[in-house]
Amino acid sequence: MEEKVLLKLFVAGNTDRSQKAIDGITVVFDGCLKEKGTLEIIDVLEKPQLAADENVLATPTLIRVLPEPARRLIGDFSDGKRAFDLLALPDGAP
Amino acid sequence: MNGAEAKLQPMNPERQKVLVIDDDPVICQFMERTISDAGHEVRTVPDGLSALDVLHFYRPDVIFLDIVLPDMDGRALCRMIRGKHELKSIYMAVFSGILLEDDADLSQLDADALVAKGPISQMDESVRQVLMDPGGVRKRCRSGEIIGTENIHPRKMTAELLSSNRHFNLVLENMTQGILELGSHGRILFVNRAAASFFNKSDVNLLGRPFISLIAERDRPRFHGLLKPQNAQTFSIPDTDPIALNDRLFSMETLPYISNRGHITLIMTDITRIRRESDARKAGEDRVRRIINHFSDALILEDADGIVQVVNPAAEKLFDRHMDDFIGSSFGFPLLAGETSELDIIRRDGTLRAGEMRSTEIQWEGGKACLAAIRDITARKKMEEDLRNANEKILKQQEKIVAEERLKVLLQMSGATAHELNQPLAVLLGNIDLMRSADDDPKELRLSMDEIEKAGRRIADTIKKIQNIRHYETKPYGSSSRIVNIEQELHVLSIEDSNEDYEQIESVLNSIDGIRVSRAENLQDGLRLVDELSPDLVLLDYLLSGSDGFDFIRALKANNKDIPLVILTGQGDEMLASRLIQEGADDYLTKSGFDRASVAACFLNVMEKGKLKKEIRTAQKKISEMATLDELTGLYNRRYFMEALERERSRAQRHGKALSLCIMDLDFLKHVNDKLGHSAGDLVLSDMGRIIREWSRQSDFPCRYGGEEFAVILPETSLEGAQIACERLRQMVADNQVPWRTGPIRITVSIGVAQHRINGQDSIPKLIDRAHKALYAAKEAGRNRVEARNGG
Repeated sequence: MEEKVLLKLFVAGNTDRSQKAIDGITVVFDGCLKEKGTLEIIDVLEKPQLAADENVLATPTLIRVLPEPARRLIGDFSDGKRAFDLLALPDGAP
Repeated sequence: MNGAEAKLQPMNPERQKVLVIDDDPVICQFMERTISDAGHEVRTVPDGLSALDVLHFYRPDVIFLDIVLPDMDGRALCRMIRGKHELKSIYMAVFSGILLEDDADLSQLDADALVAKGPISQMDESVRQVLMDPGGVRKRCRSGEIIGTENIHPRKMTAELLSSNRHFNLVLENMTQGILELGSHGRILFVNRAAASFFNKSDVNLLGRPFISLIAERDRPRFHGLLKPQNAQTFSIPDTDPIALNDRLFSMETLPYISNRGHITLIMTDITRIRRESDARKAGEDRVRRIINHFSDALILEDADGIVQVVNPAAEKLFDRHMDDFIGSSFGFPLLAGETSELDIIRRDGTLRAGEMRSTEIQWEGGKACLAAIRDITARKKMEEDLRNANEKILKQQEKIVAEERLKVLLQMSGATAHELNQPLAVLLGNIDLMRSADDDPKELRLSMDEIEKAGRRIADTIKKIQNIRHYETKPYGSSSRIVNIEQELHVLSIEDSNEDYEQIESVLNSIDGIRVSRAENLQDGLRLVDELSPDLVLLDYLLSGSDGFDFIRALKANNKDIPLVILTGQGDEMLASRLIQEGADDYLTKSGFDRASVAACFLNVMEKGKLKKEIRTAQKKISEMATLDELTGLYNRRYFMEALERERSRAQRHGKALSLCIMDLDFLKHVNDKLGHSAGDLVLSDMGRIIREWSRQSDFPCRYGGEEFAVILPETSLEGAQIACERLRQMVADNQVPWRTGPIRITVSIGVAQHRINGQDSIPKLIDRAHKALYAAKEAGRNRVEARNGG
């Protein structure tokens, strides 16, 4: 993928669920996109305004801001590959 | 029930013919290897349809069968095999996954053995046991065992999971669009209620049938594409050119993906009454909208572009947001369709709630859409949190109790010390007197001096000990030596007959902010004022003339008053004070040490302790409310029973299945209680619990209904079946002996049985009432018998 990639992961607080989502996404991101993309991790408790700006109503939410059009996923991100698959991002799978 | 029991031909343990039905290639390979290594003949098939084919020409001695098969329900397969005369004697071992817990058990399956499907290393041994000792295994399984999971209690483990599954299936079942799942050969593997009604057939009649056989001959060519996996994704019967079935018109479409087993999901929409294409869509949407609006879980429907199209009122409520906040923007595509995931829901005010989400794909406006159902689990999470906190409090309280116990010991020690002091003091004073009277006799004088010196040393030693005690005693109060920070006003009732003492008490208490004091002059007044004024704390002078502090504590307890009580004692009464504390007083103060600091520290400590006691009681209450088991008998408690009965009744109603209820009462348990005491009665009850547990099937709900009454819910059981089963139970109880030190206790039980009536207006109270009436009839007819109430 030549295009630039921007991902935003919204979590709420330092809970097990948040940590699982962060781990799941970071592993795949670091493995496949570190060079070409940006991953922002946002705690909605610390930065509620950012969640409001993006109209995030529940967490964990992952938004593919770039490439456009924006797409978002919600739920259990412990399997980051699956999320990348659904967002048509390279996930390291052959 | 036990068709397999009457075996026609015994198995040859040397070389048996085995058929394995499992879709997991790893399991099949493993079974093939294990069984043929053991010298037996083995065949494997991946699904139920192939199994039925193979059974035409291959007659195994033993079948290993997975209950979860890709095509048909393993239970149905079991019944089909048992239903065929020539296959009746085959030994059937069922692999038990967790789904088996749903509503099947050995006797319903009419299988011989249940084998846990687990790690291959464990299964090896289980399979070996089945082949070596089929009879023994059958016996163990009949008594409730699952081979290979001796230490696991799967029902508990999966109850939560199952409730999620049901919840999801409910969405599918209630959709007005027909949903069909077709296997790779085009046979029907799943139909929802709507689809079954489209074909005018029950789901049982549809399962396993080739889908094409349901379609009129002239329309069949249109379905050619559907049955080729590479074309299935683009297959559709559009609204503009619908198919006619039983005088109705349908459009059809497949889901855009093919499951990893090659299955196709077909969605059928009834468009009969719709004239125009646009109306068709609108009416379909209206129907979905109606379901959505009445669903108690939050539902959010997103189209294929991830844009929210519909949200229901439950979602507005859960998110505390208006529909407009959702519609037209993206909520987020659920990552795992068909699985549960937990979410944090951000409400408008920024607070969070915990949600549990499941999702499914549906048809919407001619495209695919995703329907997410979110249930509020905040209360459940909060409850778990509360319990954890209550537990921590209890632990802390235990630490406090340890500290208090130490204090009590110290108190007793100091009481003992006072006694120790008294004796050498008496010696000392006596010798001084002797000295005075014998001051002219140097020898006597010498002796007295020696005695005085010895007594002095003993006193000095004891005082050293007391100093040590003081050092310890101040410890538990260490941090609270500051003066009162009791936020609310503390109302103290002082029970004091001496005016002089009361003046002192009043002046000290009034010097502390936030303390108000009332007075009672004797115990009777004290008890009355406790009722009338509801003080926060009672300060009782132990040395009231003519009465006894112990009486007061007893009277308080008898009135169920949990009011903190501090005892005021004179110097040297510490032994008594410690006994009063053992009786239920909370702390003591001495008159000589009655100053601002020690009063404040003592009151603070006592109030804190009272608060903790209250919290512990609340926590314990909550714990007991959450419990589902009766402690004495190990059966479900009454609360759970009512829940289960409600659930089973609606299930029976929905599926048109039988449901029976039996209520039983031990005969003459009162005699046991009266003659041998309540601990004997309790033993009988707990043994009865054991017998009922052993007797009941896994799908039954055995409960303690109250006192000596028990109730068992028997799902999918007719009145006749329940009567036969209860007769067996009655016999088991009558044959049983409860060991007791004065000789074994024998007891009998009377049982009333009633069946739920599916037709008409049967209700739970009516059902329970009929079972009770049957029970009374059994009692009246002489006890130790089973009576049934049919309808009536």
